[in-house]
Amino acid sequence: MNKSLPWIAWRLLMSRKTLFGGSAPLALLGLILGVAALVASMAVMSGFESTLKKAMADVSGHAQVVKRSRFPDDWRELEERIRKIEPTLVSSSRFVFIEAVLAHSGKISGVLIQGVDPERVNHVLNFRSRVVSGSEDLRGSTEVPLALMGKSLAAKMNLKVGDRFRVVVPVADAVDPSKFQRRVGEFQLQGILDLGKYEWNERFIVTDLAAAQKVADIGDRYSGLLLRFKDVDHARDAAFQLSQTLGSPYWIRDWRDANENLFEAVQVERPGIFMVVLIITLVAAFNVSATLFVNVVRRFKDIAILKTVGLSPKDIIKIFALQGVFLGAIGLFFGFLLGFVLCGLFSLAQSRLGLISGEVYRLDSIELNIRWVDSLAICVATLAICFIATLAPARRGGKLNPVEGLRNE
Amino acid sequence: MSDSNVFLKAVDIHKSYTQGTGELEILRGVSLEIKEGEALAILGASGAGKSTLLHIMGTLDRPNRGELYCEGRDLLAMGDEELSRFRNAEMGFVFQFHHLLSEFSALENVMIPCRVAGESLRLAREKALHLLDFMGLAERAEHFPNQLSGGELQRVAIARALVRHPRILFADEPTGNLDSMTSGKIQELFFRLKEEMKLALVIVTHDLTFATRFPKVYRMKDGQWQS
Repeated sequence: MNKSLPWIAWRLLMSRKTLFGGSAPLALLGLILGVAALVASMAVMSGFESTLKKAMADVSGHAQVVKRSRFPDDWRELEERIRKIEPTLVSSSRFVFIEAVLAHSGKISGVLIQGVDPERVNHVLNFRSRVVSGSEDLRGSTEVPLALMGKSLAAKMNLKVGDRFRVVVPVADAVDPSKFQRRVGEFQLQGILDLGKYEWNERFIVTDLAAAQKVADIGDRYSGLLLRFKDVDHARDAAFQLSQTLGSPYWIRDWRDANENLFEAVQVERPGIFMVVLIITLVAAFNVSATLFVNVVRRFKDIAILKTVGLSPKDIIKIFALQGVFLGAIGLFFGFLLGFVLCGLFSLAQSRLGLISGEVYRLDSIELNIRWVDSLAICVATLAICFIATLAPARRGGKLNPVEGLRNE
Repeated sequence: MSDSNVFLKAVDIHKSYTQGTGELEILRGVSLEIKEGEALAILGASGAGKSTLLHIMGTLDRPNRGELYCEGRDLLAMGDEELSRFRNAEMGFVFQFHHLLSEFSALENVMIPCRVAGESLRLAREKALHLLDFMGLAERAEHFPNQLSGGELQRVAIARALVRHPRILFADEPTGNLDSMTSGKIQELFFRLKEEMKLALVIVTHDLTFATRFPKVYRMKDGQWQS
């Protein structure tokens, strides 16, 4: 391309005749709004996915190995077997799940107690980043075992860090399995966590594995191993590989399995929403096209003189096409800025106004995520639309007979 | 004079426009030879076809019939791209109205043909400044068209036409929009430039006084040469 064309196109665009006059500012505003809407909607979609993914990885690990029958006593041997199959394994930790009832200050709530190995849990899970108050460290010599709790449960039970609370665990009677015995365990609240998922914040308690085993009276049995790999995105392949090699009676599930439907929904809906919101940009591009048509007519004389000094019809087409691309780039720049502002307002609204219903969406807040791949798609789509929208007016400009323009004074 | 000295040659040029159901004939078989460094004026009343002839000889328009050669090269056989490059390198144009781009300063307007030719910004700027200085407009270089007088605008337009050192300059009523004093100065400038730059000069005018200052004057009436 002739090096002078971007220079001429830019200077002709940045003038009162074009960008700062007539309908051009409105066309540009439409484009900015379209881009901003795309940025915000993609940030919400991707944010939903990444928030859920992070919550799953932080609280339940990259994958879990469970066994239908009693687990082997030597978990280190099993860890070594897993590492041989999947060398990207970083660490593992035993865990146990126990259904219980929390009773405090005259209120009761069904809870899920997760017992974890306090020495290894921080190599596998990431409670540290989820602490709202207190600490995530379950090690310590206190009279009663330490426990962590979801923020909604703590609020509902009016519990603060340092408070003690009791849980009741129904244990099947050894003689008559149709009957249950009540076992009561007491814990001290060490930390309140934002666990990311609504249902976890409502009913999740994390404590020392030994304490959980004791309160449920299950000896040294545990439910399985929580696994952490080098790359969370590799977890699905790793889980498949482990499943194939370990075989029955082991059952491996990765972080996606528990919320497969939600992740699938995001995958399906994201391109759909992108296309729907892109229509705003498309409509804005029609305005850009109309503006450039007017511009071509207003530039009749200028086009003529540019042809006189040696620009070919193709060069004129390129000048107007470049103007469309420049308009698209300006729309993208300010659209992204406005998109960031919208994301900021969304974050503010969800923290202040409880914009997202956790009961409906499983998450009560979303960390908005503007992925580079979404940004790239927005940029490419917007520039392509603007470029295509300019072709018709640009061709008209290219076809103009210079003599007509020179006479048109 | 031998044919080898002929720079531009138009042979039997016909041009007509469709008007309603009929044809409006503007040029009826006009031929013209312009030698290197030659100055000539085409004189005629409005509507005589002189501007159309200038546009066709300047490759801005195509005739319905006829031939156009530049040093043996058939200009009418050239494609748009080739013709545009040729025009940029060999021809300069000045019109009755200055046709400067209002968003560009005087300097930038003069730089445009150089930039179109692919010259660097620095070189284009250097050439344009030199020419504006020659025109006595050095201190007005950064001014925009709306800040210049009629005479200054026309001088900038002339600088733009000459910045690529064309071998022929076409001027269509270049003084038609100026007062008599400014017009006189512009006329002097044309003759001075012709001598300094050794270029062929073709002026279209209906100003008899201006035309008679040229060594060769062609008169046109109803699309034909008037004997």
